[in-house]
Amino acid sequence: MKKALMLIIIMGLVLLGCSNSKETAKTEDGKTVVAFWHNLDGDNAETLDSIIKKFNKQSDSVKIKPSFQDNVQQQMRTVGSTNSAPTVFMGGDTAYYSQSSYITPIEEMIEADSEFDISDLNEAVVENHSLDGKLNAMPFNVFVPLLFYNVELFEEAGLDPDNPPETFSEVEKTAQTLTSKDVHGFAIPIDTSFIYNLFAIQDELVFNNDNGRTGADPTETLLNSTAGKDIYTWIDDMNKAGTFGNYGRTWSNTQLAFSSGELGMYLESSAVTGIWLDTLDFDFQTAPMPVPDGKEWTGVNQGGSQLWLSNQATDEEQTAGWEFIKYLVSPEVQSEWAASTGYVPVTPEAAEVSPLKEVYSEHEQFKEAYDALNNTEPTETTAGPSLGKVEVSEQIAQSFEDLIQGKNVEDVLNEAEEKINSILQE
Amino acid sequence: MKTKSNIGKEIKLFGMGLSYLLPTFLLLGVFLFYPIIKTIQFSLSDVLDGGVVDHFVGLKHYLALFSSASFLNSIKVSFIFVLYTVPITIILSLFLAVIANEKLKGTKFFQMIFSSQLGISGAASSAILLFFFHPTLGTINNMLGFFGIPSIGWLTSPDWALFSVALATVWMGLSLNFILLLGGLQNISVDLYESATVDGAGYWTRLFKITIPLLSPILFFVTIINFINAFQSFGQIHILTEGGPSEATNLIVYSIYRESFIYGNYGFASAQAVALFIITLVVTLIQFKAGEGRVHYQ
Repeated sequence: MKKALMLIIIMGLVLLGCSNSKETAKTEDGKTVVAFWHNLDGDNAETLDSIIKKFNKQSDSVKIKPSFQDNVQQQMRTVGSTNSAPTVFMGGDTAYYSQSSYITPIEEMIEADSEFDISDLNEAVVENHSLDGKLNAMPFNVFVPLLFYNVELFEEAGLDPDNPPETFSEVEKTAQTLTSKDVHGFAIPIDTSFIYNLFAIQDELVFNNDNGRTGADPTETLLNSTAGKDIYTWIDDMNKAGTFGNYGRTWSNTQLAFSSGELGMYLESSAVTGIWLDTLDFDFQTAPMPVPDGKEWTGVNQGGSQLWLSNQATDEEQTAGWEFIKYLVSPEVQSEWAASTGYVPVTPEAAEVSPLKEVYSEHEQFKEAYDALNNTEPTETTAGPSLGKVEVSEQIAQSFEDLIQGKNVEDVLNEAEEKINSILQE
Repeated sequence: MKTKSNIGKEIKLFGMGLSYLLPTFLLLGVFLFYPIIKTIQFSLSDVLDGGVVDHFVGLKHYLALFSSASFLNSIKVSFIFVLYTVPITIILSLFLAVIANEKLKGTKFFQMIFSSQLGISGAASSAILLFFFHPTLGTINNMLGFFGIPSIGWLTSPDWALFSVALATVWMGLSLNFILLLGGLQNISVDLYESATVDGAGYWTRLFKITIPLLSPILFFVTIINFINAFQSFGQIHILTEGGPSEATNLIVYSIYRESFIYGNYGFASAQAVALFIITLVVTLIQFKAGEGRVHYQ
């Protein structure tokens, strides 16, 4: 009986614990505790942790409590509008979070803060992360897609590693030359972002209504346009020629193929540059993503995550969270962050201070990402699609899968177009 | 007077019984009954993020189930998956249990080996298998290559992916089934075998006339939990294929996960969950009906 009673008491306490009160959490020495959720793991998370430690040490009013969440968006969907939500969190889906009712737009914090000037941030980055001209979150770990290639395989195949392919047909030819019994010439991880980027580089929209960037939601996809057909045919040709490696949806499987020297070139996020420099036992280089023949390289979509501020936190916590966000985008921190990861600094000044300054002059691989970002013309095409409906992304990934299973381009695109339009018009 | 005190006693006993059951009821209530009721409520409503019920929509989501190609596909895939995994898991683990139950030197060692898989979590096993199944670096393809057999896209080809996930599931399920069946085998009295041997029964006769019939309650139990487990497989799919390629491995539970936590269609996902519950219930009932009379309890 006593034990049963204990159990009931414990469970009661557990239930009570679930509903915490809405008071600002403080440490014993009076610092405001700010919960921070991020989705980074591996080496990049270690860099982030050391930055947070430094912040906690130098701040006498704020203490950051970081916690890793495998899928922040999934968690925020359930707890976003409750008081268990973290004060600051990292999220990538601008459209989704912007329309959620649980964030404080970062622009309001910027306006209220005389110390912080929005012009300190990279213009292209601000443009890309704004929706309807408003910046709702602070861009933090921005990456761009690049062409990564194995220098040794290039040399073995008699290719010039200083002269990487720039167009679709050059990639196709180079892939042919690189392909041997154990090596695939080229690969793209099955991920919708690369398809979107292949549209962006040639200044083409993927969806009508300006990719959903100017207020109205898209109602139709332009996947089945000439540009789309060119992209899918290009992939299909390489796939049929056996020069395209299919490593499935698990992105790390493509990376594994590259790091073991079984893949000559592939499209990849610049965020792995730091890790590759540390771990690969061969030389690699990066280059801008290829464009279709005769087209102008316009720019790329920026991937990555932004820092969001929760309006469920108390004002005191939000102010403390804002202090932390400002710290993370300061030139010194951005310099350190970009130098050890491969993300692109969101504050241009970061490239002028060490360690990033040295890294950029020593390693071309890093510089490519920075250039790609700065050469990007800010338009709706290079800003990339902004969709409320996540299902669309899955449909595009599936069309990509169908394509490399050998289905013909026309069928794949017609089918995908029909499915996506019916989702968009729902 | 006598009856009155009896009733009082009954009530007291009933109250005492209830208080013993209370912790279980509380636990089940919080973690089982409440979620079930919520799921049914969600399946009849449009639900916003954070589980906020927007409004009642009646059977809309249930009707949408029948016109959703993706959901119908996941039902089909789930049944094929059950067929791939359940019989093989049971036959293999029964085979292992029978040979590990022989009174020979070193069987203890093999019993340990056969049950050791239980020590590895599903997620860890899947992560290891990801390397085995890698299209160019994978252990399996390299072994095939050694014999001159061309590589197979274990997880990247829609024709193979479900089979590969099934293979992983069989491997992951072997140990638990092995232990259950071995336990059942060791419960069978040695006297039966001795008298059967005296009567001149051979090995196979003993196996099919004594071992299997006496093991039938355990086999029945194992079949049912394997069916349910196969229907509810999630972890290995989440890690190995994410439901792809081209929905080839989009089992019902993965479909529920995707609809709710990735797409935010909680109502539709809940309707799928209720559908899965009904399917599992019906299949289990059929098994109970079919098992009647064939299962021998000692």
